[in-house]
Amino acid sequence: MNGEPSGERELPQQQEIALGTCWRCGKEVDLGRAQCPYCTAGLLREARPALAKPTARDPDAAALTRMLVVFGGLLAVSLICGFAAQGIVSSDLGSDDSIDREAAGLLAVFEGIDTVFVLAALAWVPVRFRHPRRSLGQRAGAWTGFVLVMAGLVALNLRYHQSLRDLIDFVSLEEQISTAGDRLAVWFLIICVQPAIVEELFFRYLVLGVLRSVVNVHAAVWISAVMFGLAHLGAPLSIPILVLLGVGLGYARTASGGILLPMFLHFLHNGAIWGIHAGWVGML
Amino acid sequence: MSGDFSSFGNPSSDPQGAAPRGLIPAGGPSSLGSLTQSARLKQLNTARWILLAIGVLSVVVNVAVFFTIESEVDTIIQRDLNALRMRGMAADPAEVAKFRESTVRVAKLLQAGFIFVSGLFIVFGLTVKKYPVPITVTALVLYLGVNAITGVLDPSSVPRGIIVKIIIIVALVASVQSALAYQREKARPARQAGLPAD
Repeated sequence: MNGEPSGERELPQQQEIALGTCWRCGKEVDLGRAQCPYCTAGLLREARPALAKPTARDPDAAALTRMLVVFGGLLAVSLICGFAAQGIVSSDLGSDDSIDREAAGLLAVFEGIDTVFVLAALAWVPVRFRHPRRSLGQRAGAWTGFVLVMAGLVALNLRYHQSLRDLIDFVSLEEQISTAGDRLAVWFLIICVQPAIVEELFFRYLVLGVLRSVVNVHAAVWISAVMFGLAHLGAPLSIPILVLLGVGLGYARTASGGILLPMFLHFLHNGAIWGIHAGWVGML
Repeated sequence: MSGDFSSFGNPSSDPQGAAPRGLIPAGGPSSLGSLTQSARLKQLNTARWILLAIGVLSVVVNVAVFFTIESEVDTIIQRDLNALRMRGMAADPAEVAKFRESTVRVAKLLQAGFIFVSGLFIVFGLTVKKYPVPITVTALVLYLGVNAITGVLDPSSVPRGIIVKIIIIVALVASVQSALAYQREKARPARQAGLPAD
């Protein structure tokens, strides 16, 4: 084993096993073995540095892991909110007005917690992907086109929930809440403003940005849309249509290159649905 | 000095120059990378079997639950009616029948959704090696989401099997990381593994 290799000794070109040299005795061994068959030195222990996942130094992997941790945290917050909401519904509060007041307070608190979560996530999770800049014409086209797409999604949403209503006597949140003067502003913030800003910052800026670093645009849009749908734990039957809404908003984000368009569309969508249920906008 | 690196084509005679020590494979640095890739592939295989196991078990359990929904709803309604009777009250039979029908439909709809998602896990298990990163990320997201939805619908289900759920989540997170590393390595052209040059 000392000196130059003999000319007759040909090492195989293609190896099913990784041949190498034992670090202790210097003999040729199969590195896939746990121990050197000659001197019993541990081989896989030495191999461990080579097999170490490079993800500790991979910034995209770190960002993805952090993003998923934040998503898990948001789900946990929604879970606790769901328990609290069930407590309100099942408690003997008396009038519908009292229940409405309690529900508004509860949702305001939990949306506040979600907002803090998302702001912390924006500071903690690095978004390295930069969406390509769009020309003025492309942005104008995106804004025009996706407003029309959103109109279609609103119609689809209404049709979907009408079908649910026909099938199972489904009642959505927008149909239950009161538009009484003193709580109108609170519900407006809860239903239209907070989701449009905070949810878009999380799902279409942070999640989509992190995913774009590791997968292509279509996979990133659909995965972020599934996350968006699943985050609405309080309305599990609405998740399919919410996923489609998330897809539309995701493609709006990539088509426009900015976050303003999906924010505006989300605001429009929630406002339209609420307005229709409240009777302010003519029913279809 | 043991370990004759020169016999493997490494022009450097300095045993300290090689990293990792004593592990210069005969095929050169690229087979060191293959060793790492095969380790990641093993991790993806583990993910595959986890996804298939989750999918198959969930499909079986959810289909079984689907067919017992009506009897479960009847049991719950009967329990509530008994409670009302104990308080000297009675329920309108027509309203009870309407409530029962609506509840059974909602439960069946939700259960159908769970069966669909369970089927997705089987598909994920079969396709994880083709699209490792999107599949592992989606599987993890769906697993977290479905468990959260189940927790909202039935709070007593949250602590049930919590150890197993945590193990599955940790395994899926590890799969995501391995998938990322595997994808990066697969996309990268063959490179030197840091051996000193001539």
